[in-house]
Amino acid sequence: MIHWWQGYVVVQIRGERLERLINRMMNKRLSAWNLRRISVEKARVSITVRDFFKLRTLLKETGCRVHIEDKKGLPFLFKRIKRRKGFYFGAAGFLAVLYICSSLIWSVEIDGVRLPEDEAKVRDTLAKLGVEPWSFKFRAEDPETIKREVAEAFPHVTWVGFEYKGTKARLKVVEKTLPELPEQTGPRHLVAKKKAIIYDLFVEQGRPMVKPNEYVKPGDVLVSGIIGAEDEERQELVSAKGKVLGEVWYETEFSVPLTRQQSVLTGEEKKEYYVHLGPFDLQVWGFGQVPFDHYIVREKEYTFSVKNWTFPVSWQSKRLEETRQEKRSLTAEEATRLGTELSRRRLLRHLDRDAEIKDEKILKKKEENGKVYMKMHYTVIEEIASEQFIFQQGD
Amino acid sequence: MKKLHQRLKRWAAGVLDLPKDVVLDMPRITMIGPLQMYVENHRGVLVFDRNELRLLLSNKGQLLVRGENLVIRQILPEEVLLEGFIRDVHYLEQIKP
Repeated sequence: MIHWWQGYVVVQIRGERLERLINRMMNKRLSAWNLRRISVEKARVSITVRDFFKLRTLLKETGCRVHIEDKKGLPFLFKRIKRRKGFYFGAAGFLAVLYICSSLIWSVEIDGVRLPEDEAKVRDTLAKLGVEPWSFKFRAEDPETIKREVAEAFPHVTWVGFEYKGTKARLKVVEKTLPELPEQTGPRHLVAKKKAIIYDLFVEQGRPMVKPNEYVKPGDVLVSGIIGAEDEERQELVSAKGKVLGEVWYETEFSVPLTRQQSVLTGEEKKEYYVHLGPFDLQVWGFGQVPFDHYIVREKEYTFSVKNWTFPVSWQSKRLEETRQEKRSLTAEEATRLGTELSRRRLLRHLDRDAEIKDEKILKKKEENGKVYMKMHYTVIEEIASEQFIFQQGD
Repeated sequence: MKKLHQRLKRWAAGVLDLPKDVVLDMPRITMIGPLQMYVENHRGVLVFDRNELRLLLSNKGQLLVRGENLVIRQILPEEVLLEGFIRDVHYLEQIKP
């Protein structure tokens, strides 16, 4: 191995007294190896460049001749490289560029930051620490420092992770989720907003002024925000808080026709296809008049999008399905059922979500002119409290 | 006189437990199977070719090594490292004690 660094030659020796030459080489301590006899007058041996010149003096003594078969080792390699400079410079340059490119940061990925402005801030912080596109990895701070700096800059962050994935710098952040702060409210009463009978009440704060089964009018105080003794000196104002459920009565009137028109799909359909190119619509299939009198249209649009960018060309298919109008007559009973169902739904749409219908009664029912007229009464349990602020006088 | 000297040397080597190759000026031969042979303390190469290596020893003895594809791996003074397939090792002239 060491010979390879210094360079050596493989030589062929010709002569009659080869053994004598070998002995002389041994005496002179030439570093030679791999001696091999090829034929009677020929031998091959490897010898270092330095000792090759010493060998020449021995050749004269023994009457042998030598010629170089091969040159091996680093010095000869360098000579060859010198001859083909351009090629090797190119190769070295390529490796250098590859190395430099791989030690650059090409992109910074931030994960786990909810607000975009926070993300911009994180990006700025990272840029200050030397982590930004087109900067060198080794110029940036070490990951531990980066983690610490980011965590310090954003106190609402629980954990920060940072690593390099090849040429990509990846920062992962876990934000703290802070509990929502309770709403601050001023002193107030809870008053009734509807005529009702108190069904149930649950007071969190304040003094209850009513009992269940009591009748209240709109504006009556349900839960008082003034607590303490009767004596005004020791009274205290609080923000009344609580839930008051009341029984409220509703009456509705409606009519249901006994014959109904209904559209029924016939199963016939026609397909149309469109290409949308920006503001232009271009029909590509399904030309011609629509052969149906009544029909419904089902549309489907296919778009191609990458991340936030949508391809400006989209494909739309329209299905025109033929319908037929059918008359259906209802019996009085069916109409009643349909009517009560519809009116209940209509009522619930107007009420709060947690309101529930406790009881419903048909007050009046009349069949006239092919229609059923009805009057309904509903007993609804719902929240009846609304806030009323207490304005202090004098202060 | 010479004989006496020799005998004394042998006696000394035996009694003092000295290595015999040093005391008696004989070759030390190390072989690894038939593949490699290391001869120390020889007096020169007499014949070397593909199938034969003849070494001169002290006391005018000769060592004949026969084999196939013989190569001298290392040329060192008084030492030879031989490689190839070594078939036999032969002492040509009895080294007289």
